[in-house]
Amino acid sequence: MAEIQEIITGEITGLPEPILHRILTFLPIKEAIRTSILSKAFLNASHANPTLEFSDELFFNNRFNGSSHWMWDQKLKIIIEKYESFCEYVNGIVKRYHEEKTGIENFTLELDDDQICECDSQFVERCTKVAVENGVRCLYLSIEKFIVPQFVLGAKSPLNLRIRMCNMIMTRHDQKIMCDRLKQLHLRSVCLDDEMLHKILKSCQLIEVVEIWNCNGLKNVNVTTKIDNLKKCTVALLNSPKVEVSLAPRLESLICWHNTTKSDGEWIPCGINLTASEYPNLKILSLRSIGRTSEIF
Amino acid sequence: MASKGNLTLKSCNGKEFIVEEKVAVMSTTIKNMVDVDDSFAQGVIPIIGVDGKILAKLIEYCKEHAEADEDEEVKSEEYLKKFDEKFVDELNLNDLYDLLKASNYLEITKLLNLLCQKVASMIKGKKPEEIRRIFNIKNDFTPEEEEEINRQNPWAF
Repeated sequence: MAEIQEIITGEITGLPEPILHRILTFLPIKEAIRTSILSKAFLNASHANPTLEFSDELFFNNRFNGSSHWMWDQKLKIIIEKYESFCEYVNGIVKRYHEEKTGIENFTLELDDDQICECDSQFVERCTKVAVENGVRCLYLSIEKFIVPQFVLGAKSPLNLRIRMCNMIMTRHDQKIMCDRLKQLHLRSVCLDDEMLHKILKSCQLIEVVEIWNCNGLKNVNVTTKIDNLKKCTVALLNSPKVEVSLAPRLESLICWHNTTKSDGEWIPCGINLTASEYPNLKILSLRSIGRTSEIF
Repeated sequence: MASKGNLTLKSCNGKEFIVEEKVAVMSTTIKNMVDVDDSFAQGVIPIIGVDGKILAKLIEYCKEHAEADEDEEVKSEEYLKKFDEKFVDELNLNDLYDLLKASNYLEITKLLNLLCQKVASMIKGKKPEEIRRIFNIKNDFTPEEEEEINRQNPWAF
């Protein structure tokens, strides 16, 4: 049977570069990078891709799993070498984006390997700086103990900030918080204090999503400033803070969990205080180990 | 001339389509034109670089989605998902490219994402030679250049 083949006159490589970039965003990062081998047009698109994702887990390829019979010092030496080549790789790309002033929309830097105890904070800071300078919209940092630099909060461009494992207690916050266009804030296992959180929330009045997971150092989570756009608020903490949410008329989802690890003995429920008179859009309400302090229920 | 609440769109090869305003303004580009200049709302809006066949396709898509946005009951999410699937499955590559360009120019973000996702799904999990064959991409690298790219991203290949 004859195969009917369509005659292709158009060319995928003739598409404007922003379309190629958008196509790449729908591919896993590895496959997106692999397209650079297809042709020069794809290589160029890949070089100016506004999405940058660096993850040691992907880079290391989990190659060290199952090699437990190795001598530890040998293993460590190889890990350090690999880590250095990862940094070199990231550095090279970030340097090019800096020099060519290529726009960055999404920037991810993950260094989760706990075998690397000391992360080179200058290196991370340098990369983050370039992302911020080049107009990053979504910034995701997951680096153990990394002190989030002040300029991250001093940047105007971010719409989505995801921070994991970092330290925000030591972040200087004597200067004004500028990321007032922020729509989403996700903090997971971050060290930060009430003052810092409150300061961010006060400055970001457009915020729609606030997620706080297992962060150390918080005592009172106050979402009490007038945040008209807040739709989703999730606070799940190990200790027992007080949570206060008010004046968020568009709130659709409120999740407050006290992720207690203590099965017996001392058990202090955390308090929740909902002060607005009504939440007409609320669709999801999930409370766990919460003691109420409001008369709303 | 289109009656009130309707707009007339004209393709580059002279075909005219009368559509409801809510359908046409799914395109941010058209929405901006109508918002800025009232005369567009009365007269004919030329859609530069988009022929009648592609414009008809765009309108088909926007019509379904505009109606669904208006009434969730009649056109459920499930219905739209099926519509989207069928819509992209029926496209040949030329139409796919033309629609990508048109939806990019007209800023119909939902459609643009749908089409990009379709292309990405055609790339996913395939070897370079296979991808080149599907999309008729000419490999314009020398073997040395190809090796260099492999060398730069050792972890991805």
